[in-house]
Amino acid sequence: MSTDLERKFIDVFKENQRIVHKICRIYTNNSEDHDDLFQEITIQLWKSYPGFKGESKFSTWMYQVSLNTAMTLLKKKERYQFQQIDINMSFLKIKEETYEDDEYKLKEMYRHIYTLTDIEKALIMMYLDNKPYKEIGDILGITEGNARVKMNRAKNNLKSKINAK
Amino acid sequence: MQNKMDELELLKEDWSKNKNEFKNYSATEIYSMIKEKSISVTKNLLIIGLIEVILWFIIGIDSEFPYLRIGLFTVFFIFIIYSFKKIKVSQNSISLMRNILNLRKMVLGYALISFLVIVVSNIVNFKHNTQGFMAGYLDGKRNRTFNATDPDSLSPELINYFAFAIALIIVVFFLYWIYKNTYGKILVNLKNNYQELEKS
Repeated sequence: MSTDLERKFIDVFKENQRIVHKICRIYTNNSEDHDDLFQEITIQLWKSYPGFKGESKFSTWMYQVSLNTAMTLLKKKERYQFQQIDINMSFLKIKEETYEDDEYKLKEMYRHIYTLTDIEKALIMMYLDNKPYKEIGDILGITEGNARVKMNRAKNNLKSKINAK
Repeated sequence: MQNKMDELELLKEDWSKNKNEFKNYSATEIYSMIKEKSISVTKNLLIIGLIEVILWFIIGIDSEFPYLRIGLFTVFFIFIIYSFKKIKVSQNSISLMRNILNLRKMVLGYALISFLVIVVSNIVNFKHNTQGFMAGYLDGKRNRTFNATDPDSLSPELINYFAFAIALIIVVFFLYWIYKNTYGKILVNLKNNYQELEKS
């Protein structure tokens, strides 16, 4: 039995759930954590939904809430360390088999992104989503200029991680 | 370097592709998700904060200045709830992080003031407390009945004040350790993120 508000939220959330998945993709490195973060973001979105006045697009608002939830969530250290070893092992196997493969390159890129700070992850994600600097600044609460500076630093940091392999 | 930039472009391309790599949750699944309990930092902070404020109030209940303590408790309690209400996950990231950290500062402020009030109250009553302690010790040592020694007949010396100072230092370190292992652990990541956003 669901209320009108619940039905409305579920409809619009269902349409846009890929945004949440993408954020979980950047902020977690295994499917269990992905699902946990997805669940937490969904709860936070639902809790904040009555305050959504439609001043911005639903997808923009969803982006803001999801990113904030990912950046302020309690970290689960143990699981991360355990999984990190697993990922490195499978990564080595892939390296032997298909070295120049695009799939391998992408996996490697995601692995590098995962080692960035939370803020850098957010910046790289907004770069991938082609968000304008004005919007990036608005989401993070910093100036457009500062967003540009931070974005360049994040990109350079990611590049140096790739170069260091 | 050019090759590395290409990799970034490759990633961008992959990112925007609408691949069916993610699970598509149904309305029923989403409905059951929104009925679950949240595990957010803010909620944890509020719960720990409120328990702490109440504990500090109870610990200092026997000390001096009862009206000051009740007043402080009421004011801080209201401010803590107000700070919690101000935390909205839909505001911009830096404001959200600042508001969460303010909630914790508020609890810390109350803890600090409560602690100082307890210390001051101990200093005010120091002579009396120490006399009581010394009288009890002497009665025990001489195997006399309870309250046989009149506390007012004893006078504390410099060494007693020194012992008080040592005890105070031990308590401060103990409290610091507790804080480091509760708030410290919860907030370390949030604090780093806030500082990273704040620096230009």
